[in-house]
Amino acid sequence: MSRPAQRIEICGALGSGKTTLARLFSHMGAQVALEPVETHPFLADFYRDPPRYAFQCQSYFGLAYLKEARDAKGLLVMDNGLPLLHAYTDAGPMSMDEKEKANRLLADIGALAGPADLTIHLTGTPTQLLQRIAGRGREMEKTVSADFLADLNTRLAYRIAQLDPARVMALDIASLEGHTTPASITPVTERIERTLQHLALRRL
Amino acid sequence: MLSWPKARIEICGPLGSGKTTLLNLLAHFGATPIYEPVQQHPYLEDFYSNPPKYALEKCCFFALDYLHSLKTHSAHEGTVALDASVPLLRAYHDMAPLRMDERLMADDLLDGIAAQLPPADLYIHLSADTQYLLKRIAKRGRDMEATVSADYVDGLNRRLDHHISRVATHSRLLALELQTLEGRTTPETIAPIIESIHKALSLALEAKASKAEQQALPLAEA
Repeated sequence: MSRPAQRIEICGALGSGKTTLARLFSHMGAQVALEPVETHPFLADFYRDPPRYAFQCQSYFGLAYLKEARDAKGLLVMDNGLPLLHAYTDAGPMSMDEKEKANRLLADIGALAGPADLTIHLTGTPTQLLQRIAGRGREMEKTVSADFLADLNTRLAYRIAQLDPARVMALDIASLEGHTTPASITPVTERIERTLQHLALRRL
Repeated sequence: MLSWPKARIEICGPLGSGKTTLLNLLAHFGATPIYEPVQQHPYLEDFYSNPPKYALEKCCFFALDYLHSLKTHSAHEGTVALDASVPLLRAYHDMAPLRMDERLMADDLLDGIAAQLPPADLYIHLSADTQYLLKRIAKRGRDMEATVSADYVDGLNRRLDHHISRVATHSRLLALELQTLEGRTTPETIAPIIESIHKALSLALEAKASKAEQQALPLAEA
């Protein structure tokens, strides 16, 4: 059965489980778009010298986001979103001038991509997030501090608050704990599916 | 071997004008070359399969990569030379099949990048008329360039002239007629040209230093 083109963006700080949740949508027949981490041409340089490379690193994430969003056909689920891209820019190690330019670029990208049909906001405290980050043990993330996560959370909440509230679903990451299989996540994805149907009707 | 001061040279010219050839020769004489990433460009394949759909991604990536190359070389002590430049990126944007809203984004990005960087110390403008370029393009026979039309090359050429005139003040600009380079593909035959580039760079740096001095004077008096 063909379904209308709809886009879900999953936003949350690092360690909030965006990718895990996005992957669980593939059994709903969704196309899943993950952030380019392995193939990102500037990311390794960014971790070596963040202030020097933050602008192009962030801009490339924006570009990759735009391409996925515009290529979408049926249901697209992304482990990234415009509010999150803005929040990373706001919290990132850039000069004010660079932030202004990066945010302006993101605003242009947002205008081209159009609004998401649904934004899922994964919320967790810095302590919860740090536990998960330590759990997955990625070398690049070792230096992430609670202060940075608190800042990122605040800025993400601010960016999310600017969206249409009817199109935002907040999920506490503690409530998803352990739901990492298609079967156990079903109650959550069903709720999301109902919301999407409701939103599609509303748009008619 | 010539000694090269800390500086940045950008070679500007339309496709087929021999930018990369000149870059190789500058490298042979001791400058540090920075090449455009034609190989690992993540959107180039998509772009050639459907130009209007992916022109935006293609343009933006070239712009970001230009910024990135310069940042990775910002601590370099000698002279870096590039075959990419803001005027050429702008000319390509002007010629790309972008919609108005896409053009807005591409230009915002380029403006943002240009504002983060000082201008090059020397712009080398490789100029040639369209018919001459088309012959050279046909001769090198790259598949991707087989469909390039005279109108396109002509348009690109004009846009490039315009954008170079906006960034390159007289002292920073060295115009090289492409015909004068014809046949000079070995280090021996190109040496006089490289020496004139080297000389032009010294003069441009002198002009920059004396300008900085003049601007500093009123402050010193106050």
